[in-house]
Amino acid sequence: MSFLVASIYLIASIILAVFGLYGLTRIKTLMRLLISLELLVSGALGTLAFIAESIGLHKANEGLVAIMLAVDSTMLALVVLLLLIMLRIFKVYDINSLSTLRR
Amino acid sequence: MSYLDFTLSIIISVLTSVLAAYSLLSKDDLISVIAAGLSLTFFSLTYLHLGLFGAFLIQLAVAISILVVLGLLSSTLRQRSTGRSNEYMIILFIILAALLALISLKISASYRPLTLQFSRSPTIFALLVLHGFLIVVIIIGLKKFFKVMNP
Repeated sequence: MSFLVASIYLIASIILAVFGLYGLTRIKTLMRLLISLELLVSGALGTLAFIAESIGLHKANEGLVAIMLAVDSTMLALVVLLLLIMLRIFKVYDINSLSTLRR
Repeated sequence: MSYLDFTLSIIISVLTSVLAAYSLLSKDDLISVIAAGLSLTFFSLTYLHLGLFGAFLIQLAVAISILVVLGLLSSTLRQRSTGRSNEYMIILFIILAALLALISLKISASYRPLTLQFSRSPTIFALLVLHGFLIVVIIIGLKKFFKVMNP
């Protein structure tokens, strides 16, 4: 039953990663892009964790996921900083308009 | 593991997937942020269900950070553009308060195993740093909340 539960969570994390990938390719505002990135990273980490869990790597799995999520939090802070810079300096919200900016 | 675990895993998986889809399809940025934060919160429960307590705490910290940081940012943007954001701020902080109450209950309910687990875990420093970060984010969020509520 434990293997079955890990498999169900594995499917959920794959769905989460697919939604994140869809958002990255289709959505153009930076905040939605950040949400998609978080969904993608969480889904990918979950996939890794649940595969490792189903083959019995319990303790190593936990340390790996903790470190990767710490890296993910740092990335979140950096992208929020970029978003604030875009809003304060360039006064734009859509990432497509960044390509037309001139100094 | 029992059929209760099986049912619980199905419910958590469906809620995670539906909320993630809603966060991408919603027209409103703030609703999208709340849905994504809740989706990641439900996703963190999967780690708890499988006994990965450290991963659960950090995933929950990421979810709450998204709720607070992006929620405040989109609420400020919304207030600038339409002049109304208070009701969404209240919803956001009720969700946040419920999450914090849940974490406190969980930690107080399993105080002894948690202490044992921390003393053996190699990721204690990362967990402490992330919780410090979470506390700072919550303090900034509450300050902003009271500023918005009492201009």
